[in-house]
This record gives sequence, C-alpha cells and structure tokens, in this order.
Amino acid sequence: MTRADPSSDGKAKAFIRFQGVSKRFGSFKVLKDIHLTIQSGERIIVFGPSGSGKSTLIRCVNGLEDYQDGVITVGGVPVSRALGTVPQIRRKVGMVFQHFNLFPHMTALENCMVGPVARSVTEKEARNRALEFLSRVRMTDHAAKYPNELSGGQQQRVAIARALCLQPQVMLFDEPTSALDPEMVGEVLNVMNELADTGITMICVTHEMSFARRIADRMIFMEGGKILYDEPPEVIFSRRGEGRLVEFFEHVADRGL
Amino acid sequence: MSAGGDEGTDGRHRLRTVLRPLFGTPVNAALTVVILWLLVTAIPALLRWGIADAIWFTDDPKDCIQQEGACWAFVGAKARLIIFGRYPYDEHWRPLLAMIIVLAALVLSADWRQWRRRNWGRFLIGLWAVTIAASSMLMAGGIAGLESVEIDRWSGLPLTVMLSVFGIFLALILSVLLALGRQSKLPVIRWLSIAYIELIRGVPLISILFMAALLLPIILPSGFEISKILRAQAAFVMFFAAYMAEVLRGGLQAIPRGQYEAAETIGLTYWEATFKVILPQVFRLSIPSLVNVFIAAFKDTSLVVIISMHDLMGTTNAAISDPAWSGIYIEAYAFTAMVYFIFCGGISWYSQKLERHLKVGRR
Repeated sequence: MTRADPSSDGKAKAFIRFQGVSKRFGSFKVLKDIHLTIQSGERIIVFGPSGSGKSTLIRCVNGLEDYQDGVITVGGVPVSRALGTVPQIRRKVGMVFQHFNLFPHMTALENCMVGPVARSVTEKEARNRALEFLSRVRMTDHAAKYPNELSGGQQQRVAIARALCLQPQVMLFDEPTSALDPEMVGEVLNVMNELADTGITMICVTHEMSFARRIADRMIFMEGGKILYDEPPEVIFSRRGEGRLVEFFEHVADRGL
Repeated sequence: MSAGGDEGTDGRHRLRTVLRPLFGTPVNAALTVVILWLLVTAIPALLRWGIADAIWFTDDPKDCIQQEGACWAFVGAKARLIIFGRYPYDEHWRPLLAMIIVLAALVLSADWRQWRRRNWGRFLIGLWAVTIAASSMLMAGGIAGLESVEIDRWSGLPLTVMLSVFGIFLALILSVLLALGRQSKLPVIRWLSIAYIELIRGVPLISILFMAALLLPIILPSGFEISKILRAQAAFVMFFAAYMAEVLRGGLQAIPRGQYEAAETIGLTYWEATFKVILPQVFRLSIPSLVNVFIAAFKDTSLVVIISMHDLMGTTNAAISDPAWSGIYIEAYAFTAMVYFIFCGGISWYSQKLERHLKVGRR
C-alpha cells in the first residue's frame, strides 16, 4: 500500500471500542454487553457458530446495524444514527460482503470509481486510484468487464478494490470467502494476506482457520451474542480442545479445513 | 439433428419436424385443416378487396361507391384531414414540424450509446423542456409572425403524439417519485404515495379526463384558466404515473438489500444511491412492463374524444362522416390502424433492442 502504516504514527492506540454494546432484533438478543478494544493496525479474526452475532458485530461498526445499549466509537467518534455520525464513520471504514454486492450495471472499473467520485474526487484521480487498486488485486485485465462476466473470486477481488479506493483506515470483511467455490478461495485469501501486510486495521469474520492463524493478531470466538475468547491465535489453537471451542473446531475439521 | 447426414435424409428430417406438430395427433390434424381452409377462403377475398378490385386514384367519390373493392382513393383524399384534423389547412407544416421536433427529441433520448455521458440526464431534461416549449409555440402561434391557432383546433396525429409523448415523459418522472415514496421510511410520504396510487388506479381514465375537463374549471378560482389540452395532459400524466409507479415498485422490490448496503458503505447518499445504483437496475428490470404501459398510454389518448378533443381516432371519425363519400369507412380505419401500428410497433421494436443491449451486465 502507498499510504503510511497507520500504526506508525506513534504507539498503537485504541481505534475501535465497544463499551457495553447490546443489540436486539425484537426480543432476540443478538449482541449481549460486548466490550472490545481494537488498536490501530490490529488484525482481528472473528469466528464462531452461525447465529452467534459475528456479522452483526462488524455491521455495527459502520452503522449498517443500529444498536440499543452501550456505545461504539471509531477513532473517538461514537457510531450513532441518532447523532448522524454514520456518514463520517463510513469515510474511515471499508467493507467487503459475503455476496460481493458489486453493482451489476457497472464495469469493474466503474464499480471502483463511483464511491470516490461521489466524494468529489475528480474523475481522473478516481480512475487512477481505481486502476491502482485493481492492479493490486490483480484485476487490471478485467477492469472493463461487468460483474456477470467475472468468476466469484474475481468479483470479490473487485469488491475489495472498490472498498480500498476510498482509502479507509479499517477494513471489515463479512465472511468474504464463504460464498465462493473452493477453488476460488485461495485467490481472495492471497489478496487479503497482502492487505494484512500493509498494516491496515482489519476485522474479518471467517472460518478459514489457517488464514486466521497466519494473519491474526487476535482471534475472537463468539457464541450466543457474547465474546467467549479473545486471544492471540497461538493461544486459541493451543486451547482448541477446551470448552466451546471443541465443538467448533471439530465442525471446521469436518469440512476439511 | 444429425450434423453429418446427407441432404436427402436431412431434408426429410426437417419436413418431419415441421409436420409432426401440425398433424401429429387427430386433434392437431383437424385444427390444421380447419385453419388452412379459413386461410384459403379469407386471404384471396381480402386480396381481391384490398388490391385487385381496389380503386387507388379517383377524384370522384361516385367511382368508389359503385365498386366492390377498397377505395384507397378516399384515404388519399382525406389523409391530411385524418392526420392534421381541424388545424388550418395552410398551416399544416407547423404541426408537422412540431411532430418532427418531438420525434427527433425522442430518438435522441432513446440512443443508449449516449446514456453514459456525463450530465446526460440533465441535458435530456433541458432538451425536453425546450421540446415541449418549442412544439407548443409552433402549434399555438401568435409569435414570430405565426398566425395564432386556437388550441381547440389542435387535432389528429400531432395531438396524439404530443399528448402521449409528453404524457409518458412527465408521468415517468412523477412515477419515480411515487414509487420511491411508496418505499419511504417516512410514514407521511409513504401513506400519501399509497393513497394517490390506489385512488388513481381505482378510477377509470375516462372519469379522470371528465373531472379534468369539467370539474377543474369549477373548483379553480375564476380568472385562473387552464386550457383544455393542458387539463387533458395533466389527467394522462396523473393516471399513467400511478400505473408506472406500480411497475417500478415491482422493480424496486427485486433489488437485493446488499445493493443498498454496498452503496451506503461506499459513502453514497440516499439520492446518489438511488440514481446511480438502484434506478438503473430498476429500469432495466422494468422495461417490458413499462413498455406495456407506454403502448397503452399511446392508444388511450384516443379517449380525449369524450371531452370533445380530436386526436387521430377523432379525426378519422370526422373524415368518414363526409356525406360525399358515404359508406366508406373501413379504409379510413385501416389507415389509422396502420399509423397506430407503426408507432406501437416502433416502441416495441425499440424496447426489444434496448433489452438485448442491457443484457450485458445483468446479474
């Protein structure tokens, strides 16, 4: 990445903070009293059984979901629809979705340009930036193609480039490889690996355990809307035989991962 | 089909694939025979009437009345009346030019190769404002040395084209707002949109035209007069906007939530997301149903007859009421039907082209 390592501007500091955050869908509690601090430049993997609140957790960070109790801050600013801070937060936070969500009526290049142009970056600058990030995800040759002309893995790489074009300080990944055919998972993980090396803050919901082990500073295991473990990967993997982790790791092993 | 088969078996095979659906079962065979018999009896009679026994050129109506065949000379004699109606004869170039301006604007806006241009949407809105103003001034006259022509005398094809093209264009703009309003998170806007759409859809077009023509002048303060043509235009816009809004709503509901979320997360505002991401996809999905409404709107302009305006259908009726040519009317209707068909066929042809073009980039 060309931009400076965000952790290099002094010592690491709390960048994202959850303080007693709870969220309900009706009477169903999705997040229960979450406390979490993420430093600038940290790479966090969130994992756990489905329905445990992992996706909701990261969707709260950029205001795609609202929450009822507690407060989430990004760069010191509370994420709040009521306070109208969400647009400001989204300037710092990029997001990649499970189902890519590329705009089907735009080419890969246009997908990457639309965000910056809307933020009054000039068309020329937006194009240069888009081409730069498309080359970083090795999609230069496909820049003029429409999403339906691309494979799932290629679409997801374009989606990553699209998010990076806004030069975010944090990247959120919501199960970026789980909608992909197995043979395409690798190309997306490679791109994410390289991204991790640039020192950008990353929060990634994934079940790709070897990827997690390679890049994570901390791994967060969630179940039933709570954080049960928040440890470095060595610790998580050494404790895979205990408690709620057993079942999960057995399940992952069943899938041959 | 066998790719390497010699010509003889290939030909026989092709014959069999043609004949099997036609004669494969007794019922199919019987139907085929009946339909063939109908065609054999009807087509020669139609050709005899329409071509062999037809009179193409004559100045004397009596020649026609004694003839068995079609009297196309009547269409020739009445064409200008059918097309331009009661508009002053010597000024027919004006509605003709107005119509050409409108159709040129239509062709320019329909060219999808231009749609990617920057600010093209703004250009089109300006283009249509100019088109509406220019063609109306040309028709009305009273400026630039043009003789003033009362609105009551606007009729025929130019009236049909202007009412329907302007009506469809304005209705489409209104329908986008209604469709978005119906999905709005703000209850007041949502309820108003639903109430409007349901109210208009629950009422026949004729009654809206009547209300626009008769009720509006009564409820509006005196001195605040709107011409009849504008009232009819407003009625069309209001009516078809409700139908188009429902078509667009169907398209809106087909857009996955992820599209909104992606647009949001890359920092687009509601209106940016709507115009850059959502609506282009909605229009693409809605083309076939929208075209359906367009064609219906084009033909339904003939209902203005009931508020005594004379569109193409009205002038056709006026043409056949000429006592000199009494008894001749099929020819006039055939001519008018052909004009309608050319326009509706054109809309339909274009929409198919457009759909094929937009298939690139479909999910």
